[in-house]
Amino acid sequence: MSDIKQHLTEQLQTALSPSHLQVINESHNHSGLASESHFKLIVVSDYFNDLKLIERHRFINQLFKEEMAHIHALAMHTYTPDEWQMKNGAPDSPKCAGGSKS
Amino acid sequence: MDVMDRIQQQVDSAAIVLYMKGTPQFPQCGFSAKAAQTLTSTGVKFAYVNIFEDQEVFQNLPAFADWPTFPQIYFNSELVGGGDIIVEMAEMDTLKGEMEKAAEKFTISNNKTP
Repeated sequence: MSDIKQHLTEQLQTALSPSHLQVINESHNHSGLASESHFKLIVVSDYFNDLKLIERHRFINQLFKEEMAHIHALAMHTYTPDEWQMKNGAPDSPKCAGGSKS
Repeated sequence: MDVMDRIQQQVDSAAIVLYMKGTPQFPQCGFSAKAAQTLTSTGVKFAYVNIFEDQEVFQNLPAFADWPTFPQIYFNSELVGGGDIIVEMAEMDTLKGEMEKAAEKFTISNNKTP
């Protein structure tokens, strides 16, 4: 497992005790040389039960405040266990054209 | 004018404002493209700002609503979230309704204060 991926995984495990967690390195989909630039998170946690989507994303943004300086994109899919059961999967992230590098 | 005041003016200027990389016709990032497509698919009108055309806004928008990434979507001057949240709302079938509500609220408050 890559360093950043492992780091993200450990941080999320500690902060949210997720019942389901996927940290997916999607960097190969994207332009540029960085091999750890784009990640997708799927996090299912009881902690989200009373939080709106924006609050869940804010929590994770805050958790990875320093890491965000090095990661170009972090797609987030956050669910409560009930939502996850109803949904059965997270949507694909779009391809990034490397716009910020211009 | 201070850049934060300018951003405030932009988010106040329309019911729904999308800050994106590029334009809905020529998006320059997949995440911005997806957000623009998702908003467009509702048929509800929205405004957009191409952050590449305004470096000052590009650099200061993350601090404006304490949100580190682009795109950003505002309803009635309030940050709703980034692209993932818009897509999630579309999947839960709440996006169009929320956009219509925002548009209605915008019309009402603008008629009161011409």
